[in-house]
Amino acid sequence: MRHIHLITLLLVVLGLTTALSLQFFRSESEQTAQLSNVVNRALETKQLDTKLNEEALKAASFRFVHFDNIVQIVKATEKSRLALEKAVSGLDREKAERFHEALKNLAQVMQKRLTMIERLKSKVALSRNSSNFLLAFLRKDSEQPTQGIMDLAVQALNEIQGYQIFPTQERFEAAQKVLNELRQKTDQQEGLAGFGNVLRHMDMMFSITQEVSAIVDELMAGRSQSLISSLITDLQMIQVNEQNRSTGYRYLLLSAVLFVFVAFAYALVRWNQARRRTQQASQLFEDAVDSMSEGFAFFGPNQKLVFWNTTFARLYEPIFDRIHKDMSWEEFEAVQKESGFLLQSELQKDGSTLDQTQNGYWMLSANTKMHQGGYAVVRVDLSEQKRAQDQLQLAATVFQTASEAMMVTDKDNIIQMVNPAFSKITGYKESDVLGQRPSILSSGHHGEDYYQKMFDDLERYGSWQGEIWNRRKSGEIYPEWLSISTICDEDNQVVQRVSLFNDITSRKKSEERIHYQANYDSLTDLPNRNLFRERLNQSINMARRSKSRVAVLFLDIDNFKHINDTLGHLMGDELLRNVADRLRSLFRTSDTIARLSGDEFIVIINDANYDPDLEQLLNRLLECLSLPYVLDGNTAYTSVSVGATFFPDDGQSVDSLLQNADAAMFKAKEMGRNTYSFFTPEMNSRAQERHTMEVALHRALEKHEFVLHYQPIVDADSHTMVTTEALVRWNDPERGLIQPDKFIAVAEDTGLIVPMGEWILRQACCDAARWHRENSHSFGVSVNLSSRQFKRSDIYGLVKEVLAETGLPAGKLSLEITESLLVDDDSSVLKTLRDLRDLGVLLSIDDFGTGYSSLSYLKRFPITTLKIDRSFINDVLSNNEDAALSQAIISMAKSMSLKVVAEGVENAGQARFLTERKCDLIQGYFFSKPLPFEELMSAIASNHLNEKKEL
Amino acid sequence: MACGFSIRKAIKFFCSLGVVCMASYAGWASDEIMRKGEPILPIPYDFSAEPGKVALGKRLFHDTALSADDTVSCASCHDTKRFGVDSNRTSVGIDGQVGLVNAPTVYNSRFNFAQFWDGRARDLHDQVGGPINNPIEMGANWDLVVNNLSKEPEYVKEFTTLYGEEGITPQTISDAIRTYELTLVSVGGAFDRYLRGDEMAISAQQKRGYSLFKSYGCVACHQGVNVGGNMYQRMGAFIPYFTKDNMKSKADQGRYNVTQDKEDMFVFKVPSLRLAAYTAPYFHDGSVKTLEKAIEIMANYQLGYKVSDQDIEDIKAFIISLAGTTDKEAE
Repeated sequence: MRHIHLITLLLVVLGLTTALSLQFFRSESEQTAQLSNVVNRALETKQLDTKLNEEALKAASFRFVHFDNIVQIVKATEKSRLALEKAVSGLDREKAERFHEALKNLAQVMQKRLTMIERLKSKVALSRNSSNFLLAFLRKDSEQPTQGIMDLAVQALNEIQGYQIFPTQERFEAAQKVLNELRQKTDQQEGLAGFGNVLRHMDMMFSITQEVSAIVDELMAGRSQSLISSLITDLQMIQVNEQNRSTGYRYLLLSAVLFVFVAFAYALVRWNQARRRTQQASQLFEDAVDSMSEGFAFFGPNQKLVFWNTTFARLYEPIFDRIHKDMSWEEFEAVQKESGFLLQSELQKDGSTLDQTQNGYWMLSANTKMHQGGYAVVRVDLSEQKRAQDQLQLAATVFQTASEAMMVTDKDNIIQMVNPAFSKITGYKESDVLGQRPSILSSGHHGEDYYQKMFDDLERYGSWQGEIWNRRKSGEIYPEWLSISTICDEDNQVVQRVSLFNDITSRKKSEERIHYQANYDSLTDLPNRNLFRERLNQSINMARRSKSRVAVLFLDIDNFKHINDTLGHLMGDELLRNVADRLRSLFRTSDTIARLSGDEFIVIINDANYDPDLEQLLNRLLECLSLPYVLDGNTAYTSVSVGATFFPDDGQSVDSLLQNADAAMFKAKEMGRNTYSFFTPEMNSRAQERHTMEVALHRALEKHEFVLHYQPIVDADSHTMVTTEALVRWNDPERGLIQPDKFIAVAEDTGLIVPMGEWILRQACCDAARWHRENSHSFGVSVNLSSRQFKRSDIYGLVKEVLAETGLPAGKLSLEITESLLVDDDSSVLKTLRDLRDLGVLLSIDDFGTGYSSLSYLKRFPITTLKIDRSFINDVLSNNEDAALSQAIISMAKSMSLKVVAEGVENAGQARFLTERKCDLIQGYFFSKPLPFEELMSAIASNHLNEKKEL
Repeated sequence: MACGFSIRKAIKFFCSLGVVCMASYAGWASDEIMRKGEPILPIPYDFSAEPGKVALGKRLFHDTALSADDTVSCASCHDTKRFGVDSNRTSVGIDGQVGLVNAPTVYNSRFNFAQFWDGRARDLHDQVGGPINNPIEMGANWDLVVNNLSKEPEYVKEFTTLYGEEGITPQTISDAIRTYELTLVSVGGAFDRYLRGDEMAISAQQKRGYSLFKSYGCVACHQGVNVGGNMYQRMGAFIPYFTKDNMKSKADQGRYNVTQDKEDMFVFKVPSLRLAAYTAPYFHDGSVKTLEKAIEIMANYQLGYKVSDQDIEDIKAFIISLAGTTDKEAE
């Protein structure tokens, strides 16, 4: 009876499983995989499309060397989009149709973008040629037309280039005006052969600039990004829905199928047993009377029923009340027929029939006519056999259609059967594996021990399950979840083993995703702090063994907070992603790039050395990360500061290396950002030093150890002294004269800059007022203000007070501030500066060109003077770029009516260069070093300073 | 835009108009001591291609069975023993028909961003069908070619071995020929050795030529690995070269024939100069016989320069250094 229950249950489950499986299970996992494939393709397309924007912008800024990179990205983008289309067409029809329209749009939009990029490439190449041609022409001394025309041509080129940098309407008009003027002038003059090409090149440059700027605008405003994004969102929605739905089914079905299959195997065994018994039965027919397991009745020669056994009675139980002794054969047959006792009857080959009865039996009926008349009636109960057979048929259906791979092996571990899913997963056809051992699938991924444990478990418990890596016919290794069950006969001898497995590659992937989340930063896909520590540990261990070095680079984005605040967090995130991408492009895959937190990144370089290669890499790193960033159509500019440290030289542990790299990075920030610094042991003792310095500075201030030196600033044409810059020195009784770069930073950090600055301002004004009174020389003085000082004290009040105290006319005082003060865009700064300007004080921007500033800011602030940083002037003769930069600053300042001072002029060549380019004022050793007050006074008295130098 | 704008960086744009000083984006992985920031890149060393397909592709490339009357093979116009060209002004197809354009070299074609003078094929694979189906080139069609090849048991066997059940189809034929063409690369050029750090690899004249090539602006279009082949440009960018009146054939319209966009009138793929020294005559119509003349015309019509004879000689010397050998056809 227990079997009956089992089989009933089995049948129910079988029905359920088959129905569900057929409808759903077969296609489900395939669909999921295809869907995630589509999402990946879409993400890839989006990423490439972004990169395309970047490259386009780079090309549009004329910073290209060759176009191979952009071509590669174009190709990759196209390929990726086609792959996306192909992947979508592999989805089921409903979904594929749903995305059809979107993909068509995307194809159109992207095709258009590629056309625009081709056009952009042609245009920028032409523009570069024109610019080359013009620069070369204007540099040449020969065949020049009149100086007037030459000057106008230079001005026109400047204007066009200015328009190229800032394509505003204003600049457009200005450039057009100069161009027209030049055209008129040249028309009037005869014999300007060769000048026609100059004008033509200028026109070309001018119109190309317009075209390029239009193309770029269109590229950046393109809909491709939003199209892909919405596609991805749609896809992900579907993905989430499907995943939720499928997880539930998956578990239900898995357990059902597993159950059914084990039961099926059990049924196989039963069926075998039943068959054996049937054979016995036919032998037993001879002495039926003795046999009690078959139904038997006997109709005598007179055709009357004379005898039946108990089994017969049991089989005929529903109509047994109508069966009685002495009933005739005809009567018996009539009763059977009338009562509808036999539901169906199948004629067998040997003339017997297989009948299904009212009460649910299947019996084999044989009525044998006796030699002497009468019938021997035998009824063999085949119900069990028949059910097993049906069951087998059903099970075979499951076997054939299940999405789980099934494999049956015999007691000698030889494969007897496999199902289609097996072939699908492993790639082996049935004919490939029948007669083979399961080891044909083995991947070599697991050791002896693993298999030994499996066999032990099978021996002991009869079953095993677990994850195992096998090899497909194609050679690919994949993970599967494998359950093995053992089928034993009555004597507990192993008959067969049934293995059931699932390809769990996709589940592994989700496990990997979890692992990924624990170890990777989801924003940038870079390793996080966790994984970084692990990797650095590995690197240290490896380096110890191989006696090599590991470099650790600590990167911090300059002004990240500012970008985050002004552009918003989303843009900030986008910037971080961009930085991460660029980092990936810079380093080898064997290096580790991680994001520590916020805007901090870290790179581990294995097998590194302090050598030119590394420096070259660092330079490239700085350069690459300071290229413009395109954030959702906006362009942002930033840079990074990098600190580098080495294992084993600087530290032995993860923590100490991290600390060192951090300290070195801070040093790089101090050095002015967008630079790198190597860790030195001094950095550790720096805190100590700072403290000592702080104490000493306090003392110096009390004991009046600071002195001011004055460096003359002269008129570029006449070389007469116009003003001076006050520079602070520390006259330490022990160490002598100390330059400000050694102590200003500490003074700023400790707040000491406020009283120090106050003293400097007061002293400078006092000295300048004295020149005024005693010498009737009317030159002024320029005083540096630190941003700290500016923010921490009431500068306006102080200046007003000092001017009143000393009697110096406000127009003789110039305050030098740095660009960094303006960048913070603080309305109180603007107010203070305006107030100061209202007093009549001059305001100049110091170290111009080195920092992070903006034209629009410059316009908003009441600045009177720009001081070009000495770093530009240094190489103005040897470096074309610096020369062009200086020239550009000068012409830009002119257009904004600002005076320009060039700092750090050391030789006649530099002075000549600046004078020729109409720089207003010059400061530097070429004229005079900074002098103490008394020396300056005597120099003025002897008129040394006003002699015009020979250039 | 609220975003800040670094003046230094802004001004840098300005400089880079004339002075190109950017290092390339490429990774750090390379062990070579490479000259950095050069607009021309050396041809990479490493080409792996499936040997079976290369051999099959080579056979197909030289097989006249790809033409309508069994007279013309790919190699008829792209002779791999003669730098991948036929040295004719324009090529001759079946029945002695003369084409409209000059056959470009098949060497280094893998580095081109698009194929044909007007860029109408996206890549080498797409290119294969062009000449085969062109009535005045090979004059055949895919059905005919597939049919021809299927008659030869050896082809049937080879295709089955390499492509399995797919067998002989336009796709597999294109793939085999493409795979072969991927191996047709000119290697070991003196200039590449120079780029890889061998200062002595090229002569002083060649260095001068390179410097002129850059300062005249030739390099704005002829750059990258293939010294061209990665962008489109108008023939007569500075001074019109073609007009409606002096056009000789429809081919002179260039890319316009593909896009029907007026902007693309007379625009062509910038050809690679890698083998220019050995692949006269020049331009899409093969109208110019010597390299000197080609340089002179380019300088004038593209850049607006009248270049001196000495400069032309120097630039020519530089172009010779680009070539390298084509002997090493893949085995």
